[in-house]
Amino acid sequence: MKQSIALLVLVSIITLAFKASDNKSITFPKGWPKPNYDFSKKPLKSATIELGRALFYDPILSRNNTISCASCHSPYNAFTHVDHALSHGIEDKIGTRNSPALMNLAWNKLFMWDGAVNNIEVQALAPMHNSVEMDETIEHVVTKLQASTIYPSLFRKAFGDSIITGEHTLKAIGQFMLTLVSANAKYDSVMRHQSKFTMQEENGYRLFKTHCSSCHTEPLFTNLSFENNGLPVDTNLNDYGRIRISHQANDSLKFKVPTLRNIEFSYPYMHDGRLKTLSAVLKHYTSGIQNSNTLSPTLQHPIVLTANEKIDLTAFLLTLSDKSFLFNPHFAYPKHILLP
Amino acid sequence: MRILICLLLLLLSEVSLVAQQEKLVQLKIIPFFSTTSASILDTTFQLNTSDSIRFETVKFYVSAIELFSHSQKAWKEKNSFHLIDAAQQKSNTILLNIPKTLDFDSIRFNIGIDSSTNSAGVLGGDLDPTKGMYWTWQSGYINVKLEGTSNLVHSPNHAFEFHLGGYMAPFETIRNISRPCADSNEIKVYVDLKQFITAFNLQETHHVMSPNADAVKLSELLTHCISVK
Repeated sequence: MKQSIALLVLVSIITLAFKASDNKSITFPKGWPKPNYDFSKKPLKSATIELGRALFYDPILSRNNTISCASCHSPYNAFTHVDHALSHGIEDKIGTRNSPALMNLAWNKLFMWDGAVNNIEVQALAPMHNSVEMDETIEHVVTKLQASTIYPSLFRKAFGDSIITGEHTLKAIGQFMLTLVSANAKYDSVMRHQSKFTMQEENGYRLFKTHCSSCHTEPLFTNLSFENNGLPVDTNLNDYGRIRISHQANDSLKFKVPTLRNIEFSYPYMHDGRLKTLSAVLKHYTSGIQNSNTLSPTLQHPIVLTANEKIDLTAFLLTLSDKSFLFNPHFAYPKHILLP
Repeated sequence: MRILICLLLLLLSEVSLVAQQEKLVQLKIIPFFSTTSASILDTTFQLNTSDSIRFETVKFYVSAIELFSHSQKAWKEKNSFHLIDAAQQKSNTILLNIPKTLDFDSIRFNIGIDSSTNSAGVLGGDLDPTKGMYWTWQSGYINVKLEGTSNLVHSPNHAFEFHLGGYMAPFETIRNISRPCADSNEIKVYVDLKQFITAFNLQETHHVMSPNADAVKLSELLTHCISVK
């Protein structure tokens, strides 16, 4: 009897240890703030991340099975839609905004340019149901996934149940997106004292800290707030940003401060993609700011930069490119699942 | 070994003791228009001699159910989120397992979903977004969904759509209902949709689809149309 009890205890310990080993969080550098997403209550699981990755790349999420999340969030472009000011979705329909670059989402409190979405786990509902993006419904996605040959077993591995639900579908996509951490650019290795900035980059970093870092705060290169950065209103789009969600007059023309990480690859810039190049962005901040009631207090006076300073600042911004993020095989199209 | 068996037996007896000490109360939620004998869905009801109305969707959340005794909280349902859907007959009955000795004289519950649940990420069961009660263009639950047609409405197909929700100030739409009720094994909650629809001008207000002042006003009006027997 003693033996069997001992065996039972041993099996329990092994089971628990196995379970614990699969309950994981994301890894990020020392000194970074604590993520907003509570991994202690909602740990990541390898099988769930893998399922989420398959769903992220699978056009099954759209009405006519043509548009996936990756259509507008391609890994090689810092998970945004390169080359298009306004992202296009199903049947080439054009939206009103430039798809945001996806990275370091575990630190975000609110999602989308106007903060319409309050939790990463429900984020995918927005493009899925948008008539110019995927034009689908979560109800129908669940039906399609249940009928597929690959998904029921992936859901069983992830959630212990091959009956597919909206909750599990969205949770899996959320878990994959949470793993998209970019923290290994040249900037990061300089901060770790493993490499050095060139003189030009060093000067650019100094200029960045003087002129940009109040909103694009290190190490995330965003303070996650909503700001009016002085862009004139596009009278065709009439997009006033955050006010649509918050209904607060002082949120008019405010959009989420985007991260500058991987900015080399996330062009075009601004919420409506109106600026194609980094030099156009710097020109906006030095001579294009339009004053209004809600203009960010830090932009009340134009930023003054000489031509050489602009070059140095750009050189610094390029040190935020993280090739190990852009070409991370764990973030790429899951050929082994979707095209076995 | 003997000790283990004794412990097991003790545990089992405790479980059965607990089971014996509970009683079942049926909470029935009954949305109706003029009469409770007609189905609320797909029946044409007269508003007056010339105008009529028909409901295609009647769905709403009942949450945080509590029983009170002499103004003191006596019992609270755990994980208390229920989607009442007139198209799903079963959803109208909520079973409450309460202690057998518990006396109660009033009931409290919310119509809608609280703000922390609205921000808690994706949830399952009655809160699963596939239930059609979660907004997609912005986060948040639709607390009450009423859809149908009326000749009073001058919109395409005479359709009206009320998607009442919003969890952030200044448009918080969750409402707490507190009503006296008899200590019985059945509590009936009546939701008088005629009283609701005639409490505002349907000709003017027939589409409320986002958290706004109208959603708050209609959510408040609905609280006056709820009675418990």
